[in-house]
Amino acid sequence: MFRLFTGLFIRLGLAIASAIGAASVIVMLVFATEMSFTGSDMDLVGSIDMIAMEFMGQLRLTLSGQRSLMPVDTSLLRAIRLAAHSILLACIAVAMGSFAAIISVYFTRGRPAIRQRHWELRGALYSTPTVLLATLTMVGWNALLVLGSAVFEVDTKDLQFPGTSVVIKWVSAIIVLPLSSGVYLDLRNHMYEEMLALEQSDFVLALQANGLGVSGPLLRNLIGPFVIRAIGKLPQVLSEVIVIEIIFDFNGVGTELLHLLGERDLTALIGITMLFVAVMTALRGMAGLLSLLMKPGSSSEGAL
Amino acid sequence: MRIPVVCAIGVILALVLACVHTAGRTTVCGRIDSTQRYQAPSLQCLLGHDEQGRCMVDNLAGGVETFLAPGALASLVTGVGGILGGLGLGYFGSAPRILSGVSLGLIESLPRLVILLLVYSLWDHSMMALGVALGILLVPALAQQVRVRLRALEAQDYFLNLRAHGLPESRILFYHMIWLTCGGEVLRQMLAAFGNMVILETTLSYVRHGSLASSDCSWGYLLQRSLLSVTELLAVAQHRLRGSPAPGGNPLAFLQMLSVMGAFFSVFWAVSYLGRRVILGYENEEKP
Repeated sequence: MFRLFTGLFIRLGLAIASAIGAASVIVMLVFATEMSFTGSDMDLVGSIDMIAMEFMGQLRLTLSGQRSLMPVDTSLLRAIRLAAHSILLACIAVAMGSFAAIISVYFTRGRPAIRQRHWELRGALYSTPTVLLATLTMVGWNALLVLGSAVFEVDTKDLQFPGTSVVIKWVSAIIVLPLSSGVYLDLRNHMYEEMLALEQSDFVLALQANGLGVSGPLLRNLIGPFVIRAIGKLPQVLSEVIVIEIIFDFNGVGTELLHLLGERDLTALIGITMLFVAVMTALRGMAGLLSLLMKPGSSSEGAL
Repeated sequence: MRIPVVCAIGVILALVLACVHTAGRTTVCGRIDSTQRYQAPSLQCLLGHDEQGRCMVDNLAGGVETFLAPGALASLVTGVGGILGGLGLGYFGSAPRILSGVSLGLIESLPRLVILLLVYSLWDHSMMALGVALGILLVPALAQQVRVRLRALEAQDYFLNLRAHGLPESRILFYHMIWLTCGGEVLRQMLAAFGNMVILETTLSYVRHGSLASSDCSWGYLLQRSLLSVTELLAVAQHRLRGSPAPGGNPLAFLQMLSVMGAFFSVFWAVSYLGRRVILGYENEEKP
């Protein structure tokens, strides 16, 4: 127990130290960028004060249930709202990838030939960067619309990509992201290998010899590492989300980031990058803590 | 030698040849000729022409210049930084270990694309600066791999045995540790860094619609422009399917997109494949 708490404490400390260090690097980079843009002196403390005041003011008003008296739709708050959308999109994409991986493992269990084909598919998909997959999706969808409009004689102009339909963009992003970021194939492969190793382990053989069911213990031992790996994939998907949002012309943090760089909005740039660092550090920390908690021997229940 | 290996090496050689082909030219892209707009492939121009009548082979060769040198720089930074970081984590004493651990943790915590965009803006859209930044951001992955390999061999008293045989420390470090133990992984990660640079350059020039692209024939810009040709083609198809008179359009316009995609895919595939082959070759090789 003492070792567990020491491990947790050290990991938490390292995560916080990394976040602070990364935030400092970003602040320095943003200010260096600003200096190169304007060529003038900059007020570092003033900008950070502004971000802190804006956050605290909004938080206080929200907690007290009052309406905000300050102009809420500032670029920073807008960027944070959009970042929340992007994080949600990344979470959904990882969840979809995980679900597809579980389904795939379930149906290809005990079929090595299919697994081999998956390896080849994995190689091909890894060779397909997000920008290509997204472009192919757009072209493919528009070609389908052309065919559909000709066959059914309906006007499909509103559904064209990248058009105005948010639903089509979300659906396409959720399909493209798990494939282009390798989430689906990584998780699938990981789960398959873990399952093969567990099926040949002594305790599963002992259960089978005693005529007991193995599905429950197998699932309990598989799900922990699987969840940790899925959470660990989130930062990677978050980076891909930025690219997807820009290509699909999404109203998200990717387009906002480019807009902010163009506008040279220093406060919002710092805020948004800080938010990213915080989210990524939190996700990495969560994955690390989960792996520590779920390590065999960290609980009294043991492997079963 | 197997066919895929020959193909992958061929792609890398083609990149080098493309750079040699465009070296010393005032304009790296193809010559603009409106009379050749969307012309079909011919012996003079194997991949056809784009919407400005430029030869796609010349365009693609010109685009190589934008990522070849930055990609090589990113690979170099990743290789050197990864080896140093890995040795810091797994070979030297506790102080370098802590220093390396904190530095690598710090780099890992940075949101990659955001930092790259900032660096791109900060250094006046310099692709070389972007290459260095990308190389640094990829250092932790290689350093961790180097550390794992060194630790695994250390646990088997491999290095202790070498020292017991009287081998000098420099030979153990540079030959046995870096070259024999980690060489495959280092080469793989360096190739991966090059592949990442190709993707990054293409993505940046695609998403900024060429406004920040260092060249008019950057592959991302060409890909983005080729969407216009596909839209034009789809409009023609729609009219033909409906039986209405179609506006003028060349059915070969989609070749522009196919050639850019093919070039992009083959470069990325080649570096990934060679990386996998290198690591397999190293793992199958018997250690002295």
